[in-house]
Amino acid sequence: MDSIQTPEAPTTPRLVGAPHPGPALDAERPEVVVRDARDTIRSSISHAWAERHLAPRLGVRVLVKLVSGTKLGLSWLAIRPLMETVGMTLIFGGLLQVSAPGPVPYFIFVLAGLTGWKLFERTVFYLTRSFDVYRKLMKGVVLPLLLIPVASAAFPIVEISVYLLVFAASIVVFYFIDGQVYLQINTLAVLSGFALILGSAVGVGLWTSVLNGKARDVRLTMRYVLQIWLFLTPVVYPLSALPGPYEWIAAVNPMTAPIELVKSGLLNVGDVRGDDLIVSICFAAVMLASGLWFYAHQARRSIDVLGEIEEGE
Amino acid sequence: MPSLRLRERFRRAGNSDDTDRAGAAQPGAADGMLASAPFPLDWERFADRRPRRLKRGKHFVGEPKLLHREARDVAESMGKVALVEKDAQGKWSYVWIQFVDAEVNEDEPCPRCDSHELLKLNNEVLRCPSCDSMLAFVPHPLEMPPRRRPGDPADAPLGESSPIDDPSAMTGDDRGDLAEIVSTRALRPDGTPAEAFSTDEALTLETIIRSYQPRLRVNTMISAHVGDQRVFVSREPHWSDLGKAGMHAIRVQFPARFLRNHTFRLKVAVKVDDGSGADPITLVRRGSKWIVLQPELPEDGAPPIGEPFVRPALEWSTESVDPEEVETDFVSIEDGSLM
Repeated sequence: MDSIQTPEAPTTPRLVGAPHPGPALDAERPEVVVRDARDTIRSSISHAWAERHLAPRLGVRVLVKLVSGTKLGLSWLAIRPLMETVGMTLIFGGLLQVSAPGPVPYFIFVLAGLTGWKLFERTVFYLTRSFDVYRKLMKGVVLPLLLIPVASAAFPIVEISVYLLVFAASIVVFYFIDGQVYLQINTLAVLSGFALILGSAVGVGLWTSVLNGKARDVRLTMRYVLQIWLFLTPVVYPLSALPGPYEWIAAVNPMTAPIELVKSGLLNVGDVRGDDLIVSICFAAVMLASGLWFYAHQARRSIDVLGEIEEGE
Repeated sequence: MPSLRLRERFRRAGNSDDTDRAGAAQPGAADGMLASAPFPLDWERFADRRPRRLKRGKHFVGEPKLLHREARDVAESMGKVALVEKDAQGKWSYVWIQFVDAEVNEDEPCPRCDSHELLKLNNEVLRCPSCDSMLAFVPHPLEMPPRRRPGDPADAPLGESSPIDDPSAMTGDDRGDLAEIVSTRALRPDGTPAEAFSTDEALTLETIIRSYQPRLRVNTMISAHVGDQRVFVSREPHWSDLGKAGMHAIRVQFPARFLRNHTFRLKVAVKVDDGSGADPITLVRRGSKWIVLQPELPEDGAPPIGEPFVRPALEWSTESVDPEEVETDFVSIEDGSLM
């Protein structure tokens, strides 16, 4: 062993596809440090934009998951809004005797409100679950992380389109029943309402998706939060039906104004108040900006935590 | 390699740009040229490192695992590494493929620029902030505690010359239903096992594995360590088919003057793919003792240190061997002698 000399450069690491001269054996090799990649809002958006063609491919996964294994397939897209509206109408319109303002049938009133609310609820729900749905893919290949919530929001938009179709069909049906057209469309109000709802939902969803990646309690909690939130929002009842002592709830509820905008834009029965609108715009802006920031900085870490959860299971 | 031929034929047909965003040839783009080709894909497009989703029936035919292998082979031929993720959605079958620049083993620097700072994109992929390479991350194989037979001596002290064919060496993911590493040893050019070598002579490292299923494919990586430091890694450039179940010798030949004088500890990791589409398992055997590459110095002294030399590529081979000829005192798990 005495004859062994200190090697000057014994070998080099040879890895598939990457030959290169390595460091000398006897040199002090610094420790390899692996850090989490930190994205910025700008880099996240530019990466997602560059790969935007993947969004429909990712978005369709949710639809396939929904209808896969069902006998009725895509019919569920129409059945769900119908059943929900019928259920709400029977309980609130029939049992609790809640009535819509003016001559509008309660069924149509609820359907208009639900169209707006469902866009919020489904978007938050699918964004919260997005890491669950795309986890395997996100761990297998490098996808722009911002595409995940974007793709997750695509399916709720499809759902709401179906709600609008059901709404249109209901207008036609009630025209034949009552001989009256209840539709009084105000495109600007409808689009503004939907834009506010979508902005708020994506903002909330960006937070909950990452948090749900860290702890799945978030998903379970959000289910109840959204249920309570629905009844605090004038969806199944008109804003004017809210008793005086509880009006402050509507005033601080950022969903009040956009839902009223949608109802006003579709049926001209909404009560859009300036203060409520400011609260909603501020809420959407703050949630969207802070959600983007939080998502860009924390999303990658959530993928790891999800992996640990899966392994633990 | 069929994929290379396919690629070459496709390029010659002048249709390399007639692809959609998924990188597949347009139907009929190369009629007559690709009619018999199983995967008429323009793989060159994948060199841009972007992920693509391929759909069965539109972008590829047959089982996804065949495309998986194809992608892996083509990526290797392009000096890249393929990330492949199967994605079954109801009755539709998709495969996501992304080529990255290279592999990087855990605790290793960037193989492209030697940067010691890497960024983690996900559990599988790192990015080098220095040269912007995307690197497939290869973690340390799972290793089980050493299992010894009663009476086995403890590891020899570091530096002591002893055979690397240590029957008590670890095996990692010990899936006895697929394969196991039986032994590892170093051979002189005449085939005789040895413990010490001169830097001026060639040597062959031989790993004997026993496969329990036919048609397994293996890919072997050897690494040499000095102390705690890994100083050399070499991976078999292709996957080898083992054919029928039985004993197989995987050999890698080191030409003369490939290794400098030193004492190395050897570690062998064999990836085993059973073709089921499941992730390959990794068998690990770590030489718990030391192989000595001791110079037999000529009278006029050792070759000068620091003299540059070119390392030729290593030659790998795999062949079936007669179990009777395998020199080992390894006791298989079936015998129940191992704890």
